[in-house]
Amino acid sequence: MTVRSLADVRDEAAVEDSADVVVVGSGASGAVVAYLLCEAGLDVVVLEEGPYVRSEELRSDMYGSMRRMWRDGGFQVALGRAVTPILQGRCVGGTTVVNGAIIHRLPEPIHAAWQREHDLGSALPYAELMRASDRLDELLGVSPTPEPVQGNNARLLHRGLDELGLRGNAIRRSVIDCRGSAHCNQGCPTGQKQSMLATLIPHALERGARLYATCRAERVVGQSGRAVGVRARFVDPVTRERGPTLRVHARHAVVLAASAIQTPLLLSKSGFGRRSGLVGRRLQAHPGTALVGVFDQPVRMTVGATQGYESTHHWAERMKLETVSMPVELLAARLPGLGHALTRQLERHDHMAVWGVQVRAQAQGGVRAGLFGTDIRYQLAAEDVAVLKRGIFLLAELLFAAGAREVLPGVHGLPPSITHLDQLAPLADLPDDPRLVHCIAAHLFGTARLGSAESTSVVSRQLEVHDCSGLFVADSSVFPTNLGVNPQHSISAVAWLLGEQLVERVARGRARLARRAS
Amino acid sequence: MRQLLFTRGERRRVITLCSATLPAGAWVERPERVLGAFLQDLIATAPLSTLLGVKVFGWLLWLCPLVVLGRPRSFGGLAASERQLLLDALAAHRIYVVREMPLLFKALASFALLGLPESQARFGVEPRDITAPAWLDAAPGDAP
Repeated sequence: MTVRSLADVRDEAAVEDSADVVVVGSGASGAVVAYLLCEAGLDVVVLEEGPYVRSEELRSDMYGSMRRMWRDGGFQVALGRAVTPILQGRCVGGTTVVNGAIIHRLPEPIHAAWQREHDLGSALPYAELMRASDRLDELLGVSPTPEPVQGNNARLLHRGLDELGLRGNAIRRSVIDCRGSAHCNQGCPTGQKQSMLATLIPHALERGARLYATCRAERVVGQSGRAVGVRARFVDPVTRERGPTLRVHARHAVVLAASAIQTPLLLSKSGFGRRSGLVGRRLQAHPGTALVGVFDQPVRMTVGATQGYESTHHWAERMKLETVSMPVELLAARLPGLGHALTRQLERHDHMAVWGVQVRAQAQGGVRAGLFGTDIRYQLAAEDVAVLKRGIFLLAELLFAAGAREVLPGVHGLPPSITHLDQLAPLADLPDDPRLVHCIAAHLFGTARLGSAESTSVVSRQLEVHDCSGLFVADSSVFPTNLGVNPQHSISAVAWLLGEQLVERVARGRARLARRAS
Repeated sequence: MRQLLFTRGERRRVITLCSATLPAGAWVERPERVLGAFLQDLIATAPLSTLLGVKVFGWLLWLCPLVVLGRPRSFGGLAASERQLLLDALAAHRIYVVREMPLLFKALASFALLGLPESQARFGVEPRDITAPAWLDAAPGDAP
């Protein structure tokens, strides 16, 4: 098993390597591609900008986790009329290490819309994606969150949904034998979460993959219109200490799996995919906000699955509801009040439940390299805010239905605390302005979208960058739109099909070479 | 080099602002020392754009009592009750950027103070770390 980080190469002037395929990124897509290629006996190098953090090294304090394993220490934001935190993992295993492990398959209506309206054609057949999802389910131990570890936060949402006659379900997650420590966002301290760090990356390493961690890809190297390698540099992501460069020669392909933020930046820096003018544009997301309910009985969000129950009842109305058991550090930032008013709120944290609404927003933003780092622009459209407002009203209704004595809506222009749903009525009259609420966005799409024509897309239907053969994109950059559900499994399923395609392609290439040689 | 981005006075102000938004003296021993260590770590590791926001918002919040309360004092010159009044007024302000100012320091204070072992014990986090965070261990003895 070969993992090399800055500490291992600090004294070297430069590092060189070569592989059949170089994969940039080790998250939901990169790990899948690396796994499949290694299973087929190919020689693979994986580059990951973040550190390799073992389960036993994980801490339960949120800041300690964020500074080490989240992009920009958790301070990455998108700018618009409001500031929107953009949450992404930056460690071996990517966001799968710090997300809620929520598994949804690509919704069929979304796939149909991609075929109908977004030039998907016959690429990524739905049946094939489901076949890949079946296999991923097995590899990642996907199952509904068992009742004993759901926690009271989830049980209360279940009760509220039942009271209102709305559909809900225990969230399907990639966790085996969850201990219910509510630590998903800090990285699972018991190692039960089946993140890519715990599953496919170790598989790939056992089968010969070489992983370079704390190694930032700086440029895809092209030659005569073909990707032939990657230039990277070892950099400590926390201290920013710079180490030697790494040059990896790719004999067959380079796969970008660095997320809808980093992949377009890398394409731009490398000078590829520019002809459409769409690299880094049309960024879509699932912005969301959360409501706090205060109950008479203890809720104890510190016990149970971080995210155990959800409702897709209103999916067609572009929203999804779910429980979000927040660490107390994040909860405090969400609670109303400052000074002693805040400490009084914290005194009753044990009686609080937090539920979120996630919106399939229509807004489109962009990403590019800026003066102070990555420049992400994103602003909710008025119609998205209208959906958010409906979601906020619905969550408050559910909280009261579940027995909350008080709801903290977190909407500017409304009372910080309400005890009856009628008090939320003025919400409808507030403007559809993104500055009304605090949103975060964790699911990102569309910044290197796929299509058949070079003028309207960045990658082909085979996920190969139009103007660079041998350069593929495997992450959600290629998705034409957002999904309305958590995207990890859809990203992995698309990466699975690309991985299989690459195995065939390399085999064909080798056969061709063998024929020539003979 | 990054440590030069904030003067000693600016650090003291940020610590005072964070302490005012989340007074944790009841369960954290010497919260100012923790906040000092946190700020030092933040300056060393956070994106420059974040630090710029902390710096600018720190100055604005420090100097705003004159505009918001009509008091010719800095934030540091206010009594505790006046600070609370000011923070409440800012948090409910009609201008988005103004109401975001105290929330930034509240978020920083929450990250610094609520992840400590003593805080996690108080708030029933299990399993929890029994050792102090690495950024606190590595910090110098006292707040600037």
